[in-house]
Amino acid sequence: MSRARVLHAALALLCAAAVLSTPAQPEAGTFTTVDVFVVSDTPVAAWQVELTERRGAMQIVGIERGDDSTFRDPPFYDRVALERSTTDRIVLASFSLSDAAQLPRGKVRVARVHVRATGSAQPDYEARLVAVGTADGRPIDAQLSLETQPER
Amino acid sequence: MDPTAEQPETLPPAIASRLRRLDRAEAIFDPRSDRAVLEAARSYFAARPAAPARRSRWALPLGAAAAVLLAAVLVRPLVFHTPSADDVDGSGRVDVLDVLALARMRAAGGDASGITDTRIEELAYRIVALDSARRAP
Repeated sequence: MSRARVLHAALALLCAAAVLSTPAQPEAGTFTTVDVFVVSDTPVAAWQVELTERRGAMQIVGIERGDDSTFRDPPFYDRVALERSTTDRIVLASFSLSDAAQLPRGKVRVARVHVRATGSAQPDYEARLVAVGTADGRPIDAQLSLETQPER
Repeated sequence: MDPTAEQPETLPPAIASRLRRLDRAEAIFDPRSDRAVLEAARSYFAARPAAPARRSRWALPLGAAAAVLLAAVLVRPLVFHTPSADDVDGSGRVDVLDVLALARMRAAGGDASGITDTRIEELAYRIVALDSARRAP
């Protein structure tokens, strides 16, 4: 056996060892943002929303407040939900003590939820408006909508 | 010495004979004696006047009152809703509007309101809790 063949065999063994020793990358999953919008003609001072993934296969990795700076950042949520590997729902809520004139109205993004969806199926989100109120604490009728965008 | 071991009879004859007399067999009553006693008892109780059933005149009203009281206790939670301390706005449910009401009371009254920021935060986290144990009622 020539020296070149021995060298090639040694290199091949080294490459194989390097490939085999590389740790397997964990499955990245699909990261999406779920924007929660409240639509109301009346200025909104408090809101509470329940966001559900019908298959129970979402992992919440972050929660931000919406566009309006009069609300706290981030909204109230169950911190245990972020520690779970997967969850089927989360409840978000926030309020503002600002004057009615400063409060948002119309279609307002109140929260952004960063979600890592596990599994191959498309996530199936559903949101329910638990409560919405005015600055004087009066409940109001409002609509709710979701917008999802892939992060990567 | 083993107390259970059989000892030779060393008692005086007088005591031994008295003990033997005490150790005789029980008397056996025959069925005729049983029947005689039974008949005597029947004739005795047949001759006694039957005691009238005594019932207090308060028994019926007291029983009815107890029944009404029991029904009221059982039905009360269904009819009368006991307000929760977290139901600040008295809407019958606890949600973010109660947190807002509490925060407004705190903003209006300051420390004099007796409401602390901690209480407001605790209520806010209770309304978003996923587990029923930590959730607001």
